[in-house]
Amino acid sequence: MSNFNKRQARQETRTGIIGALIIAVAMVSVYEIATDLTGLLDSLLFPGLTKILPELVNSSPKLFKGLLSSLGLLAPSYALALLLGVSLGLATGLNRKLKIALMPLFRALSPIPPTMLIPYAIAVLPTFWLSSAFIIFAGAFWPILMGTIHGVVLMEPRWLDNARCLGLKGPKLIWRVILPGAMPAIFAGAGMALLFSFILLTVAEMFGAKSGLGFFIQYYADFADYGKVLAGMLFTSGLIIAIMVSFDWLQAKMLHWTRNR
Amino acid sequence: MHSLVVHNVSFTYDETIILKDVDFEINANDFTAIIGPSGCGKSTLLRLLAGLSQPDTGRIISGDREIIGPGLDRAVVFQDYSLFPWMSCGENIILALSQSSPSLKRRQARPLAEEYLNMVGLEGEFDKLPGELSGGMKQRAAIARSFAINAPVLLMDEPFGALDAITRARLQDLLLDMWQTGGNAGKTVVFVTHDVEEALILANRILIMGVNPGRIVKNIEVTLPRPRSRQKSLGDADFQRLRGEVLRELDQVILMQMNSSSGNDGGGI
Repeated sequence: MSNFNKRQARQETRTGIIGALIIAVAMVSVYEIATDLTGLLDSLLFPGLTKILPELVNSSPKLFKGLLSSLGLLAPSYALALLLGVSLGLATGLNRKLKIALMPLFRALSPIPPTMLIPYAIAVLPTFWLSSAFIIFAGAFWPILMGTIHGVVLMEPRWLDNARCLGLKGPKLIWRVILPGAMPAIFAGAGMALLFSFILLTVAEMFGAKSGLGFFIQYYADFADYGKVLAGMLFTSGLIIAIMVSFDWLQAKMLHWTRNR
Repeated sequence: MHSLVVHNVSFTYDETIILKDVDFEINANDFTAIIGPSGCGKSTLLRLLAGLSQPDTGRIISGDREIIGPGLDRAVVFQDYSLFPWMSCGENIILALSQSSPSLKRRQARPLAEEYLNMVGLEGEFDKLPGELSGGMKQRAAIARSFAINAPVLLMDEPFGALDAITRARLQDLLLDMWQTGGNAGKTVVFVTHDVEEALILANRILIMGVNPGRIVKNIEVTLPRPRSRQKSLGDADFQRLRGEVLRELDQVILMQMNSSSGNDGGGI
């Protein structure tokens, strides 16, 4: 039966990929017809693929440098949010007193848009990198924290009974039971955090940076070089899709056990 | 050599008296079934024995020590959820082994875990996740894990309650075999069930519980000869007699429950 399920799942994945490709090809074709072939759209704002693709190739050294710069900002900020969010979430979820004391605060602070903090981040923190890193951190931290707390609090109580019967305590209890048990909710929070951090990364780079993919797009938009702008947008979207696919892959691998529980 | 003594135990939850003055002893190495209609507090009683909850009054003693929490002297098998779903069956058993004998090396733990899986007829299923197994196989693995802890006391909360009749019969035979071959080094087992035949096939003694509040109303010795098998017991004339006796007692419990609840309703008008 499980072999059958696997085969069916693989077939569904294949159908999904084919469907997505068909839609992508159709959209590109429509765009191509509206630009290069008929010139329906303003050729300055909407250059055709004949202009975008060479720009993509020509700019690729710059784009890859921008990619490194963007990842150098995104990765440490997100990693810190993950580390602190999960640790604080575990501590809060596991400790009744801490939960009662902190939950109202978390509920009040978590919906505040991190973009509101930008003026202060710029004024208080000494470098652009630090203030952007802080904004991305602030966006990613809350969903991870709240996801972890929910994961711990709403965990199947029988798993905890089970762990107590086995005499599991301390770090072993956390590593072997609490963390895996809360993992589905942690992943839900971490996925949302990743989306927020993409948005905040590009926002930060478009308005203050001297490097990075957001900067690349904004820089050429200022010169009205929309061929390069669209090349940058295509490249950035490709990067985000690649990261999301890796994230989904990791999630499927780590939450394998939730599929037929 | 672990006897269990439950001494005048009462337990209240949300101002409802679940258990009142429950008082009994279980001899070391004996197999006792606790049976009663749903809501009689038999699972609560097992939770108290496991140390997962504390009684409001009274004491429970396992061996020579009072139970103040869960302990590795008592292995527990639940109806479901006995295994952690994110670990393979083998890993679940290795985790239990590493708790009961912390000095055990991983290298030694794996073959030992495989041995326990073989014992319950799960050869070659070491790497399967619990979610990939049928209900019966899951409970086999849960039994393997409870034996891997090597606890003198085994507490089972309707372990076969969610299984179909054939799987249930197979697992009853398995448990019977495993307990009987333990001989004098065997375990003290407390087995909660709502199935009369299951209780008769497995246990030396049946405690029947009443409802509102939960309490022990009757103690029946199951005098069927050992070693038993399910097949042999079912054909025994004593089996039919005991079955009638237990069912009559249960009928009485249910009758009393109906009378008392209709009385309560009347009081409300």
